[in-house]
Amino acid sequence: MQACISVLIENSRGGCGIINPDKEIINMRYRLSWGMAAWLLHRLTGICLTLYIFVHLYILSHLKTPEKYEELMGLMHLPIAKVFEILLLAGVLAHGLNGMRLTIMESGPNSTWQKPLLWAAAAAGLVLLVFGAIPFVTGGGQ
Amino acid sequence: MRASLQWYLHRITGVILFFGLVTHMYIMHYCLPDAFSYEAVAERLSDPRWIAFNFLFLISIVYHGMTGLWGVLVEYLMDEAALKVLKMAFYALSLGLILTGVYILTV
Repeated sequence: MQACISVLIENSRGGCGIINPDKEIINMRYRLSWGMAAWLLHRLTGICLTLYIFVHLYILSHLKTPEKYEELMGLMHLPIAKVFEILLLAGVLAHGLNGMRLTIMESGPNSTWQKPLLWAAAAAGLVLLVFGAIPFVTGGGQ
Repeated sequence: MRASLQWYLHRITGVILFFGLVTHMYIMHYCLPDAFSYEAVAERLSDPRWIAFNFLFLISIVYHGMTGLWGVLVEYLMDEAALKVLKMAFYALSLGLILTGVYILTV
């Protein structure tokens, strides 16, 4: 009976653990690896971008006259719209580049490609985000 | 639909979206200073090639987004009855998105 008893505890490093009958603490804390962070980011950006499709198509369906169109374009110069556009660009880059990395990995290369591809995608994403955000900030990209 | 076919279509639409988004962003934001004007957009949408591109883009984005969202949902929701109802809702929402897109592109 005693062998079946385990106690969920809070351990000294802030994570959860179980204490077994020999009084050893087995650490169950999740460690956030880069791969897990990429998975989480892919999932979050995917959900946000899918919800954005609804907003994007709804707005576009209401821009059938030049007046309505120009009215909305006027709003795009607001600082909040710029921030939103840069966040959108970041989301698209993160999801798109990580998605391409996953597609490449699933098409069969050696697993040693995993980390270099992750870093390559992250580096490409950062560079493209910096250069891609310039027209939004300066007003050139609307 | 078989899960393997769904998996392949998710990957294929993902690759289409990657290159489609590069084109979409480049044309709309980085290519020409007046690419955003009403006249420029209306002119592009009078070209059948742009309509075909946008239609492929629309189908891909709706399929990729909705199957992705569905994949997340089935991981957390275990109730079979609720999933059946939600599946119908997903089909209806996807159809709504595609019809809205067709309206934007053609009317």
